[in-house]
Formats: sequence, C-alpha cells, structure tokens
Amino acid sequence: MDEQGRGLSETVWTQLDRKAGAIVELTIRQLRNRMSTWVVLGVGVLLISLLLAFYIDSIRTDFESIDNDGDSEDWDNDGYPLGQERIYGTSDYENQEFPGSSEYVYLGDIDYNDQPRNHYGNHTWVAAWGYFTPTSIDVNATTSPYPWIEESLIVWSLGAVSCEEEGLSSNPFENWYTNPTIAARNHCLFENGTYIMFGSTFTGEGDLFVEPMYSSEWGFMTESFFVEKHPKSMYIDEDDIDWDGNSGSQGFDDDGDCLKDEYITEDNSQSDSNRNGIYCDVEWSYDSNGVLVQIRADENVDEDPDDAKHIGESSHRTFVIGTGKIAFVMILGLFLPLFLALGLVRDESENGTLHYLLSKPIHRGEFILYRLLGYLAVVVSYTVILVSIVAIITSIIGPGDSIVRLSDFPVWMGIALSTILVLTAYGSIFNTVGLVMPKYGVYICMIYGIWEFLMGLFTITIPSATIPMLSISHWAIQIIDAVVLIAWEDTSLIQQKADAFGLETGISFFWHPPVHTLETGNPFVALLISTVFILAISIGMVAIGQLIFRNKEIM
Amino acid sequence: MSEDLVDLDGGQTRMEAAYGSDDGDNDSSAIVAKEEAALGAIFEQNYRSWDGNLGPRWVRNYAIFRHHVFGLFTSKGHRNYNPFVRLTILVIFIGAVSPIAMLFFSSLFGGGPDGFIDKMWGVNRSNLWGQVLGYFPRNLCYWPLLTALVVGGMISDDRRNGTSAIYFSRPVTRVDYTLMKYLSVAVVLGFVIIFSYMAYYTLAIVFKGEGWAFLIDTLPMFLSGLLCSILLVITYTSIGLALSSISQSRFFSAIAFLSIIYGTKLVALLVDLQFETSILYILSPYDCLAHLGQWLLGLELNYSHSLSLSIVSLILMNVVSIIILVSRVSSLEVTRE
Amino acid sequence: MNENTKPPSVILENVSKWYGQVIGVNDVSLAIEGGVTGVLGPNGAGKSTLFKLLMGRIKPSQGSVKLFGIDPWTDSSPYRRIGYVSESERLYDWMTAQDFVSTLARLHGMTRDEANARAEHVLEFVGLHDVRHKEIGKYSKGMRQRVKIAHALVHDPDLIILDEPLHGCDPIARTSIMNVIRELGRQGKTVLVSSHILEEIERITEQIVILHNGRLLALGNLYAIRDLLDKHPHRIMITTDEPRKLARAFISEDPVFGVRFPEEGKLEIQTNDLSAAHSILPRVIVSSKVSISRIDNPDDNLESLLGYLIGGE
Repeated sequence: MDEQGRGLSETVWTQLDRKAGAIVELTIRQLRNRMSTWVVLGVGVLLISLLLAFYIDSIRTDFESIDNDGDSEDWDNDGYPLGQERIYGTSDYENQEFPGSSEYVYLGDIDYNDQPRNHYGNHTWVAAWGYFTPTSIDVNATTSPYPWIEESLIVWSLGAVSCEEEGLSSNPFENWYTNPTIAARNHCLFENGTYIMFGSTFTGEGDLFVEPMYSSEWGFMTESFFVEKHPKSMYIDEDDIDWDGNSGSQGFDDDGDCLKDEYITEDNSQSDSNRNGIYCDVEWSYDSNGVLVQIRADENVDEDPDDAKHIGESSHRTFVIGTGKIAFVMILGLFLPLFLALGLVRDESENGTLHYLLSKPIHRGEFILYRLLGYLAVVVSYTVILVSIVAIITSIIGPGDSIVRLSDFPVWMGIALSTILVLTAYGSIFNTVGLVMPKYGVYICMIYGIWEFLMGLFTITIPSATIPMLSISHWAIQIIDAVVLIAWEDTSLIQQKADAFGLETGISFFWHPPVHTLETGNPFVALLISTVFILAISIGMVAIGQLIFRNKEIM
Repeated sequence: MSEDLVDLDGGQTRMEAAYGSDDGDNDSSAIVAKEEAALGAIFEQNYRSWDGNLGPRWVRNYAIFRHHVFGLFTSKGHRNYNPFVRLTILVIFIGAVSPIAMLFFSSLFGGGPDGFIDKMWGVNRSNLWGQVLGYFPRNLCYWPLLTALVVGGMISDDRRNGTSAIYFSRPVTRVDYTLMKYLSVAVVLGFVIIFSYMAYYTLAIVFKGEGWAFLIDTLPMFLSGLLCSILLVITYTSIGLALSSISQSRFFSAIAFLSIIYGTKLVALLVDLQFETSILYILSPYDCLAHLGQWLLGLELNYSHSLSLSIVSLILMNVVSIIILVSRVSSLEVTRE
Repeated sequence: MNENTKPPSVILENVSKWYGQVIGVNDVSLAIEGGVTGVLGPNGAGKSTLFKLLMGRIKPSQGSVKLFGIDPWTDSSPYRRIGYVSESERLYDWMTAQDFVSTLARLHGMTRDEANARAEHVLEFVGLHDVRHKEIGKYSKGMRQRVKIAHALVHDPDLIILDEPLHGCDPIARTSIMNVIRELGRQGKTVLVSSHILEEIERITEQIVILHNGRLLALGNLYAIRDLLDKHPHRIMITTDEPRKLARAFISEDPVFGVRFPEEGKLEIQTNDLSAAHSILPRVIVSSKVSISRIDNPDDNLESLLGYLIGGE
C-alpha cells in the first residue's frame, strides 16, 4: 500500500485508524450477535426502570411532612396536642391539665417545724392537716391543684360528717383512716363549726391550725380561660431550621417549647443540652477550611423542620447517589464486564477465529487494545444512554423550583464517568486474566468479582477503611462522593442537618465526604486521585495483557 | 502381482473406516486390495452385535450421577472438575465448618469472657439460622460461588460439546438425564451446605457434652434449620440448572447465577434503604429463604412484607426454573448445537 | 512487487520446536520461492507446527524463521504479503462472506470501499460470488473452506500458506479448490499447501516437502523422489520358526531380489519395490504354511512413510 505515494505518517495513521475501525466494528457486531449481550443489557435497563418506578412513586406521593419531634400527638386525649400543651406548660399525660385550665399558684405553707403553726386567709388549701375554722367555704371549687392529689379533694356535696358522732381518738391524725366514713371524706366537722382536715384539699376563707409534725400548703387557683385547640397539623414542621449561613450560635425556638421559663430555671439539661452556655440555640461549627463539621442543637430547637424543603432535596440526592453507587457502579459496572469482556480475546483463541485476525498485519498489542475499544464502545454508549435517561427523568420530576434540576447533571456525569472507568478497569482486568489463564481465569474473575462486590459494600458504609482501598469499586465510589461534593456543595450540610435534626433520608448511609483528599478536604483532589488510580490500573492491565499476549504461542 | 495397473495415477482407493470389522484395536482404516479395487468390489462390514444384558434403569442413572459427583474427588473416568474449582470448593467447605473448630476450642478452654465463643458459635436459634442462611460470609461468598462453580457446565457443556448425544443415543431418557443432573448438583451442594450444618450441630453436642434435655430442646430448631438448608439447596440447584440449560457456555451460567443472587439482593437493599419498603426482597432468592428461615426458626422477622409473599415467590422461582430446565432439556438436540 | 533482489519468501534455518517433551519440528531447514509446494506428512508430522512457525504464532525453540527476510514472531509486517488459511474450522457464522472478507481486508489498512471491492473480487475468484451475501453459518464445508481461502487472498499476497485446505471437502469442492490453488501457482505466487493425502497434492503440484515425526524427509519433485526411492533396496524382517523354508518361497517371487538370515529365527527379504513386496507377503506366507510371529520394516522412516502416503503398507 505504501507505493501509492502517500506520506509515511499519513499512511501509518490512516491505516491504524482503519484497522482500529475494522476490529472495533467487528467486536461490536460480534457482541450484538450474541444473545447474552442483549439479555444482560436488557436486565440492566429493567433494573434501572425498576428503581425509577420506585422513585416516581415516592415523588408522586410528595414528600410527606413528618412530625419529627412527635409533638403533634395528643396523648391524654384532651384535644390539645403535645406541642400546644408544652407551650402552655401543661402536661399532655393528664387530661385535667390543658392550656387554659385553671392553675394552682403556691403562696405559702406550714412546714413540719415552722412557727407559728396557724394561718388565716382565703386560699386554696392543699393537703391540709389540721383544724380549720372557716369564715366561708367555696363548695364549688372542684379543680385539683395537682393531679396526683385529686383524691384528697373534698367533695362538699356529700354532706358533712360530725366528728363527735364518729368518735375521734385522742390523736385524731394518727388513725383517721380507720374510720371508713371519715376516710372517704378526708374531714369531719365539730359542733363548734371547726373542721378537722386529714390532708385534704379545699378552697375557703378561715384560720388553719396545724399540729406539730404535720404540714399544710396554700395558694390560689388561677381563673380558667378558654384556649382554642390547635389542630395536630400545626405541630408538624412547626420549628424550621433557622440558619443564616454563618457559624456559631444560631437557631430560634419557633414554637417556644424550649424557651419555656420552667425549663430554663431547671438544670439546663434540656434548654442547653449542647452545653455552649446559650439557651435554646443551635451550634454550627466549622473547621479551619470552612467546612461544616458539626451541628449541635439544643433539644426542642429547630427540631421539626419543613420536610418538603429538607427531606425532598435530601431524598432526591440519596436516590441519585444510591443509584449511582449501587445500580451503576456495583451492579452494571461489575456484571457487564463479566459477561462481555472476559471472552474478548480468550473466546477468539479458543474458537480458533483468532487466526484470521492475527494473520493480518496487525500488532498483537494493538489487537487487544482495539478489542477493548470495541467492548467499550458498546458498554460506554449503553451507560451514557441509561444515565442520561435517568438523569433527565429525575431532574424534571425531582423536587425544586426550577423546571429542570440543572445541578443534577454534573453528578450524573460523575456517575457515568465512574461507571465508565469501572467498566474499563474491569474490562481490561478480566480480559487480561482470561488471556493469562485461559483455564482458571474465569474462576479467578468470579472470585475477584465477589471481592469487588464486598469491598464496594464496605466502602459505602465505611469509606475510610483501609482494606477496601485494594479494590476498584472503592475508588469508583470515591469518584461519586467527590463529584457529589463538587456539584452539590451543600451535601455535607444536608447530611449534617439530617443527622442533627432527625431527618432520616438515608443520605448519611449512602454518602460520605471523599476520603482521599490528601488532607485538603478538596473534592477535586479526591476526584483526580481516584480517576488516575483507576486509569492507571486499566492501562497497567492492558499493558500486562499486551506483554503476555505478545509472547503467547497460539495453537 | 503387478500393481502398476491401479497404483500411482490417483486411482488409489482408500477408505476411512467408520467402524472396524475387527476388534477395533487395529488402526481404523481399511485398506483395499488393489487389484480387486480396480475391478470393483463390495466389502462386507461385519458388525459384531453385543448381546449382553442392559443394566437396570437405576444402575444406568447411577452411572450418570456417579460421573458427576465422584468427579469432585477424582477425575479419572468421571466428570473433570477443574483443580481450581476443587480447591475453591474445599476452601468453601472449610469455611462452612469453621464454627466447629471454635466449638472445639471452647470445649477445651471454656467459653471465653462472658461465654463469648458460645454466644458467637454455640448452638442457638440465630446461629442455626446463620449456619445456613447468614449473609456474610455464607450467602455472600460461599453458597452462590459454590453453586455457580458446580452448576456452570452441568448442562451447558453437554449442549456446547454435543455430549448430550452420548446420553440420548443410549437407553437414558431425558427425564432420567434431568433428574440425575439435578440430583448430582443437589448432592454436591448438600454435601457442603447440609453436611456442614449437621456436623456443626452434632459436634456441638459432642464437644459440649450436652445431655438429652439439650437435645430435646434444640432438636426442633435443628430440624427447622435442616429444612431451610434443604430448601436452599433445592432453590439454588433449580435456578442454577435452569441457567445452565439455557446457556452454551459454563461461564455464562455461572456468572448469570451470581448476578441473579447478588443483583436482586442489592437492588432490594437499595430500594429498602431509600424508599423504606422491603417488598422488593421477594425478587431475591436469598431473602425469600432467609425470611422463611427466620419464621421457621422462630426468629424475629426483619422483613416488613408478609411472609406468604416470600413463600409464594420462592415456590414460583423453583417452578419457573424447573419448567425452563425441563423444556430446555426436552428440546436439547442430539447433535452439537 | 519484484522479489528478484529480495530474499526468498520462506527461509527456515535449523528450526526446531518442541512442546515440553514432545518434538513438533526437528531441525528443519528449508527455502521456498515461487510456485506451489505441497507439504506432505501424516497426522502429527509437524505440518501445522511448521505453518504456525511460519506465521509467527509460535516461537521456534531453536533456529530461525524468516519470511521475506523478517522474523514473523517479533514483527507482523510480513503479513502484508502473506495469506494464511488456518486449519481452524470455526468462522464467524453470523457474518456474510462479503462482510467477513471485507472486514479482514480492512485490517490491511484498506478503506471500507477498497475492502468491499477487493472482497467481491476474491469471492468471485473462489467461486462464491453468488452467495456472498449469505451468512457463513449456512455454507457447506467446501464453501467455508473457500471463504477461508478468499480472506487469505484479499490483499493479493505474494506468499499463501494453506493448512489442509481440502480437509473434509467433497470431490467437487476439492476440485474447485485445487483449481484455485493451481491458478495461484500459475500467477507466480509462492503457495504452500499441506495435506496428508498424496493424491491431493499430486493433482496440484509436483514440488513437495515431506515431513515425518517433525523431520524433513524429502524435498523436491515428487516423481524424482519416488524414483530415488525405488532404486533403494528395502528390507522386510520376518521373525519365524522356519526362516529357510520361508526364504525358499520368497526367492521365487518377482519383487524380491535377495534374502538374508541375520540371526537365528529371522529372515530378511530384500526388495526394490516395497509395496509390491508387501502385497505378496500374505499370499506367500499362507501358501508356504510357515507360522510367523512378527513382521518388521527396519527402514522405518522414509520408505514406510512414503509407503503410507502412496498407499501400500
């Protein structure tokens, strides 16, 4: 051919080009003609469709608002949900107590050893032990100051019991309960109009004398007032995350369930659970590189964020990351080469068809490369098409204000890149193993596949573990982690928020910041290192394959 | 005796004899005497008929079975298992019986701090379940790989090499053929899975010197576990043989088996983690078995879908696989495909 | 393409190839240039090994192989001028002959159009023009062999190596393939054809190379070799209880010109025509009613090989 007067370089290059074209084309047609190729590619499409179906289903039902802190429940069935009762400081476990119910206010007491031991006033007397000489008695007071002493409340409508008739002992406070009539009413009435009270609770004006060793307390009941019952839905997403993007103390207790006075006066365990000395705040801490390290929230602050706003976004990202790592890199990335690349050269030499190809003026090393290129042409276009379809569908129906989520595309491109690199690396490894050990190669590839699978799972859960670094899947997953951080810078933030405010979307499982950043925390470094690593392995494997194939005697 | 008449001008007659008329230990070509050949001659082919007695059907079937199973130990006259495959199966077997070693240590040195060894490896519900159905490493590394290796060329090799003709040109029916292939695979899998399970239980009792009370307490659990392991062997054999019967290369069936086991599991896991529904686990043979096994052994179920779905799916998988297997074998050509 | 100044197409110098303990080719030296050469030898003689050495598929254990002066093991450039038909029976069954040949043509650096045109041309040359758009899987064995030959001719090579091109073909296919090979020879190309059947080679060429057990046995014109062979005395050794009685029966026969008794219980017959001697052997022995225990050919290489090839035993 070189007699035709063309320049040497041109001839060499165009000829190379044509040879490559011929072998690539042959390889593609060969793969296309195999049933198993279609089965495998079809199963891959099926898998992705299945995931998409689940995704669409979960989007269709919208991101349901979840009551993260559980304060929309009404445990005592008084019609006021926990959140509302918290704000009014009433208990959600006593249906007597509810917002607007009258409340007992303590005024004073006679302790076991106080002096003097009598007191006059118009009060609500609580657990009074002693002799009460009334000026007036409010027989309509039926509210117990504390729920746990409800039994001691005197029910005046039952009528009075005469102390003389019942026959009190010399020390009436000792054995009062032995008399069933008195025990049922907690009091009795002397003929002189003085009552003797056995730890009873009542309201009235008069003088109370308490015997030594006994005690009594008094106060008043506030007026009860009507408080409108809040619907439960008001306590879902009621305390969104307040953050202006800076570090330090942030956050505001929108629903007021942290700022309640009583809590603050107590031991700080609730209102300053992050121990930064500020009540009811959220501490956002950054490291020296300006990377968010931790979010520590006081209890009941920003505890129930807007799920549509936060969960929607983070579940969408979880889907993208999870699909990328597991469906694309681990399943497609591993099984496509197992089915398609293992026999690229090995099958040819087993069938004897290699003789046709090698009797042409083509270098054996070139031959391996072109075969791999042919395989890559099939799987790369397949991957790119599949990724594009998923990317377009999810970016249109995914959460967000814009019609298309443009920020998704770099991530999908990263996933495609990672998958393609994995396909290349596994393809060249399997091809080379098939060449070196035509007999045992396949078994080794199978065991190696299981190893990669295992290491991939490990990497997803604990990316910093050392042993998985010996696998390709580890580095491929690193690429996705890095690209996610590049395209969605706030993924760390979302993850931290998810952890700090109880937004469970799985993002903390599927995504971790990239590990191999050489201490810089820069995702580009991790992306570069991982890409170079996988490429180096691929090239190394092709080189080894070429070296061995060149010196291989073909029978 | 001049030969010039017939020789050198290309009229030489040679015949490659398909069947020798002698005992067959001579060379297989019949040389025609030249003079007669020039005039034309018809040669008698004397086939010696064999009038011995055919072995009964099950003796023939046993021969098929033996061919496949004994090949694990010696390839002389049996199916050749690649030495690498044998080695891997050995490693898997050792891995499967490793708890026995731990039990042995615990019987020698005591149960470790807080009975740690007994808790980890002793006989109890979850360990009996785990001995067969635990995910790591048994169902992640051991059983699928074992099945893939054993099942790989079981039928596909016959299709590829046309050796099925050797069976079907003899008095072996396709039913017997399928049955024996199935049995061979099941026995090899059973040897590793069920045998290691039984050895584990038995030796646990021996090493710990347990009495009748222990036996009575744990026997129902053991039997449930045994049932699980039999179901596992049956399911994996069905799926594996079905794949072997539809493929022409042993590697396709092996890799296809692995991809079914791992692929379904992983997709179901992905969906479970993201969308909080465990329903997709019914696609995964392993998870259906694990679900059923949890119920049989009285463990807490960690799948949120109904058990009956798993059982139905398990039955479906087996039925579909066997239908594929039977239909493929019945259409297996007696020539090389 | 003027080879006049160039080294001969094929040169083998003291080439040996062994696989472990087995010797494939043993100390073969050859130079071949122009015309059709038949490589003859029984199965296992080393014909395919020789061709694989020539094609750089395997590396010689000793000696050197040169095609157009280049070692094919390290350099694939001679393949530009070589067409090789391997003994492999497998082809890409799903491809049409046209696709198959043109795809392989493109590996010579032809453009798609050039390749298609060349493929059409060679397929016509081998007589497959009408069916060239049919898939190879539907071809008969003879057609498949011709597809293999077509792909080897597509780039108009100077040296064509055909490993058992007639294997498994019926007489019609055989004739047409032989015609193709003869035609190539007439065009002045160097053609190497292997076969284990002399009759096939005889119809193509008179120039032969005979291999046996990896050794080069004879080289040159078939008839010259045969004449040389006939002038050689041959010996047949018979082990018997009564050598002298048997000798009497033999000496009167035409092909036998002498007998000898090398040791006790043995009879050596000398003949000029080995096959004739062999053919009378059974009759003479039977009629002499002497029991014999063994017949040997002491000159068990060239003669017995040729005897095998020619047809007598």
